[in-house]
This record gives sequence, C-alpha cells and structure tokens, in this order.
Amino acid sequence: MGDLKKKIDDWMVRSSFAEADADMEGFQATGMDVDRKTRLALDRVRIVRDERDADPQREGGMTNRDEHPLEEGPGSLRVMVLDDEPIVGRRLKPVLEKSGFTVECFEDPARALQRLSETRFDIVVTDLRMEGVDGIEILEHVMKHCEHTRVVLITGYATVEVAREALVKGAFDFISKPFKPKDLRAVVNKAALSLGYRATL
Amino acid sequence: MPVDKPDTATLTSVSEEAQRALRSRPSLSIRRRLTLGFLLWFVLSLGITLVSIVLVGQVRARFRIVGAVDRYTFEIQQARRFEKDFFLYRTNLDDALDQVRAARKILVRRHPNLVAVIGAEPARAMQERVSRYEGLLSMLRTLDPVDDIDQIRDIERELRQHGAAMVSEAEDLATRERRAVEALLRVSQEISIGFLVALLAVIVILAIFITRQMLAPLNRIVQATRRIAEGDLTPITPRRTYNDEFSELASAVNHMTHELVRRQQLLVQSHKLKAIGTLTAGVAHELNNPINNIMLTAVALQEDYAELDDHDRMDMISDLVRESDRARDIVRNLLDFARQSAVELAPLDVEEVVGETLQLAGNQIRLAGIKVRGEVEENVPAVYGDRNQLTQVFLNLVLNALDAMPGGGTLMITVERSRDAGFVDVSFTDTGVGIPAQHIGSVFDPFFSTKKQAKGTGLGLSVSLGIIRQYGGDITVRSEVGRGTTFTVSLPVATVPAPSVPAAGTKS
Repeated sequence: MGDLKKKIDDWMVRSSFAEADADMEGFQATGMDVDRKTRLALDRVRIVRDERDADPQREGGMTNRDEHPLEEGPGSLRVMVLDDEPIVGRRLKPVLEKSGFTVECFEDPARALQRLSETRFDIVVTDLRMEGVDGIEILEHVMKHCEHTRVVLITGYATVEVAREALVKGAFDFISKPFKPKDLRAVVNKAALSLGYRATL
Repeated sequence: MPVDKPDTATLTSVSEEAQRALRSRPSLSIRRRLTLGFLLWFVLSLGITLVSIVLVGQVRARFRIVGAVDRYTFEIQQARRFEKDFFLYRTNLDDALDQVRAARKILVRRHPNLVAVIGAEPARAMQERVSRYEGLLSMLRTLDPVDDIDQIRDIERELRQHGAAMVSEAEDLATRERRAVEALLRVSQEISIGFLVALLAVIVILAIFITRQMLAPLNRIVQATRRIAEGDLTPITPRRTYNDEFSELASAVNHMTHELVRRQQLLVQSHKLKAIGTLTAGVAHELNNPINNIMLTAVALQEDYAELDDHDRMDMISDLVRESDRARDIVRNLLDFARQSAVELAPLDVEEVVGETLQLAGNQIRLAGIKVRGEVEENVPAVYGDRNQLTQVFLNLVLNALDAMPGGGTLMITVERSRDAGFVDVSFTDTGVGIPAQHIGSVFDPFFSTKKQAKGTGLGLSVSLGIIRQYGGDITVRSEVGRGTTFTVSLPVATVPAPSVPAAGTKS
C-alpha cells in the first residue's frame, strides 16, 4: 500500500490522473492484493483514460464500458450534498438536478449522517471542514456502511496532505473551493460513470 | 482618551526631554566638589598653623622681654646696693655706675621691644629715669663727700626715689609680661582644642557630603535599574541642582532604556507579524467559503438568468452582496490587527478584547477542532492597555493553547476580578499536554520553546510578558502534565473613571 500512497501523491501533485493510467495497470499486473480503495482508485484512472480516448465532440462518450450494463436511468441516482454553507446546497441542487440526479442538501453533518443510515445515496458530496463532524468522518462512515457509494470531498484549502488522506481513505475525488458549478458537475458525472451510469448531458 | 501613564510613543520624547534636562544643569563634578572639600580642610589647617606660628613668635618675644626686664631689674638692684654702700661707707660708686650703665644699655638695646609692649612714652620715661639716675651718680663723683654734704643729701633723696621707682616699674613690667605670656600660652592651648573641633566638623561634613552626593544618586540609579528590569521604561529625571559624573551615568541608563523601548517595539511588531502569518492560513481557508458562494451564485445567475424570476434574482444578488461583505470582514479583521498603529493606552473592556481575539483566531480554533468556553464575572472594571497589543497577547495565549491540544480539547477563558485589589485576571485554561515542571520556570525566557523549530520563535510569551509588564501587570502560569495549562494575565484596573469605550470593530 505504501507504494500506492506514493503514487497517489504523485498524481495529486501533477494534477493528472491520466498519467497514472499506466502505473495503475502496473499495480494490477503485479497481482497484489487489491482492496476496495485501490479498486476505486483504478476506476478513477480508467475513467480519466476513457475521457482522454473519447471523441472530444461527444461529451461523456464511452467506448469500452460495455461490460458495465446500465442498471437504471441516471434520474434514479441519489446525490447528497453536505456543506455547512447553505448557499452551496442552494446553488448545487438545481445544477445537479438538471443533470438528472435526485439531490438532497444538508447543512448539519449530524443530520446527514442520520439520513445516510436511513437511506441509500449513490454519491455523497461533502465539505471537508464543518462544525461537529468533519468530512473525513462522513467519508469513513460511508466507506464502512455503504458498499458502493462514491464520496466527493469539497476542501476549502487544497493541500497535498488533505488530498492524500482523502484519497487513501477511499474518496472518489476532491474538489477545491472556490469551484464553478460545472466543475462539480464534471466530478459527479465521473462518479456516476464509475458506478456505470452515463451522464445525460 | 485620558492617558496618565506614558505610552511608548511619548516615552521617546520623554526620554529625550530627560536627557536634555540632565545635561542643561550647571556642571559641578564630584572631583571638583571633593577638591573643594579638601581645599577647605587645607585652608583651615593653614590658618591654624599660621596663628600658631604668630602666637609662638609673640611668646618668644615676650620671653625675651621678660628676660631683659629681669636682667635690668637685677642690674638696678645691684646698682642700688652699691649706691647704699656709697652712702654708708662712701665706696663702690664706680661699681654702681657700671651697673646702671649696664641697665641703661639693656633698655636701649630692648627699646623697640619695650615700645611694642608698653608704648613709646613709658619706655622713654624709663630710659629718662635711668639716665637721670646715672646722671645723679656721676654728679656724686664730682662732689666732695664732706663739703657738699647738703647737696649729697638732696641727691641721695632723689636717687632713692628714682631707684625705688625703677625697681617697682621693672617688677611691674616683669609681672605684666609673665601674665601676658601665660595668656598667650593659654590661647594657643585653646586654639589647639578649637582646631581639633573644627577638624572633626570638617570630617563630619565631608563624610555627610560623600554619602549624600555619591551614595544617594548611586542608590537612585540602582532603584532605576530595578524598576527597568520590571518593565517600567520611563527615563530617569534630574533631581539635583548640579550636573556631575552621576548625571553621565543617568544619561547612559536613559539611553539604554530608550534603546530598550525601541527594540521592544521592534520585537512586538515582529512577533505580531509571526502571529499574522499563523492566522493567514486560517484566513485563506475561511476566505474560500464566501468566494465559493459568490462564484456559485454568480455563475448560476449568469447561466440561468432568463429562467429565474425577479424574486430569485434579487435573492441571489443579496447573497452576492452578503457574501462579499463577509469576505471583506474576514480580511478586515486581520488587516486591522496587522496595521502598525501607534501604541495608545486607554481603558479597555476586557471582554470585548477577548471577543476580538476569538474572532481573529476563529478559523484556527475551528481548524484545530477546539471548543471554547467563556466565563465573565459581571461588572468587571475596565483595564489599562493598548487594544492592539492586548489582542496580540491574548491571541498568542490562544494560539499556544491550540498548539498544546493537537488532539482537540476545550479552551476555557475566564475574566474576573483579581484577588489583588485593582487588578483584573484573564485566564486561558487548556486541556492540553501541560508543561513539565522542569520547564515551567523558563516559559517566559526569550527563545525558550518546546515547539519544533520553525513552528515557534520562543519569543511569544517573553514578548507578551514584556507588553503586560509595561502596563504594570503580570502573567503567571500553572500547569499539570497531561491535564492542561492555565495562563493568567493580571491587568491593572483603569484608575480614571472609565468612559464607555466605543465598541469599534465588534459586531455584537
């Protein structure tokens, strides 16, 4: 795992998942024990590779994802947005709904945790730093209890350390404040893709 | 604002004024004063010696006169004895003449001395009397003892008269001179005793002078250095009329305090910059929230403008304005603190300053995951201090507490009246790692730090203590390893009736 951590650091520094493509295949080729977190990382790399290979005219175009059958329409994908800044939820909800996701917004992490135990979310977008429960705890909760849920972290101040911790702990991706709605949409779409859904936009 | 204690800005001008005042006094060096003292001693001794010399001279002169008078008396008495022989036996007349001549010679030789002692007139009278006596004796030689018996009888009577007068005069004179010599000897004895007394007085005066003129200013400078060590950097002001070597010393000490004030200011400022550096990370972090809100809202407005109704648009615009305000406030707090303002001592509401400090450190506190609790006694009087500096001290203690609780914890801040009347205590209690007993004595030493290099300068507490001591306050520490640490800042209560300090920069 140590090697993997180092590699992830490396990608973060160069902000290029694509360059990690070959490395990831290398990891698989060695036949080492690949746990869930590593699989998530591999997924991420694969999506990046797919985007690179795809025809730039056709957004979200898939060429080799036929082995992941579409289960349902993207409309059924449930997204949780958790940020103690109410404006974030207010603005992201319409944006993600327009992409066809079902969105629930939370400002209070404790209530979000409660909701997570009540119902299943496919993608959780959470702020890293909040009063009471922080984003890493949400991530850990999800990794423990929700088998296939993807977690996207929002950070106020991106550092390699935070990113590494997030990725090593199994986050799907992270996005730094300030971001534009379409940046987040792209990340959430990637998460949806990794779950086998094709973005509608 | 009422200020009754000089702040650091005016300290500079006060110290310049003190330096000028120290120098402008007339110069009278200790060396010169000592020289004057010993010169006085010498003059006194010289005077006494001269008087003694004169007295001894007079005594000698009188002795000489007494000797002369004694010899004269002897000669006269001899002459008279021969004179008596002449009248009884008609012999020895020449012997009598010889004796009288010898007596006259003595008078002539001692004439100036006699004039000095008994005056010119009596001296001349004595000489005349002797001459007359001699003349009468000479006449006796020319007369025939038988024929001129009548004339001899007359001469005999006159001779007896003169002879008796001469003897009694001489004896009187001798007695007088003996008394005079005795008086002179007594005077010189008294003068010796007087001189001893005067010498004692001079010695006492010199001793008092040395104590007063040397030890007193020395004591004053010792007191000044003690005062400076305790943080009171007001300069030494002149208290004596003259300028001397001690004034030079006082001037040097003032120069030193002036430099100390300047360096303390630099140190305070540089430490503030360090604190600002620490705060900046939190501010950058915090700033991203409103910026993100603005960006999300602005983009939403841009993209969906046509689809939104007026009410939604106004909502979003209000969000933009509010979030911009928020961003401005975040930056402004830090900039207000960072600005290098002149030190201004004024009555301060401690609770307010604590509030401002927590606002500044708010991001750091959230980042560290620390809970803050506060307890404020009611009606705590205003304290003296500079708002910016006091915020700096509190901030330093809060940041230290955060560093002491890497795993989270609670920071308890209490404001209460001190057990010492006239002071207000502000305590910062953390539930952190605590300070080992062997380090507790050194926490206020400059450059002492238990933090890793690059994290702490080791100057924070030393600078904070410097600031608080300048106000006449103190910082104390109490700690238990594993349980936590309490730093207590004791601040003097503002003595003037505190005006309601305008709540600048606070929202509540």
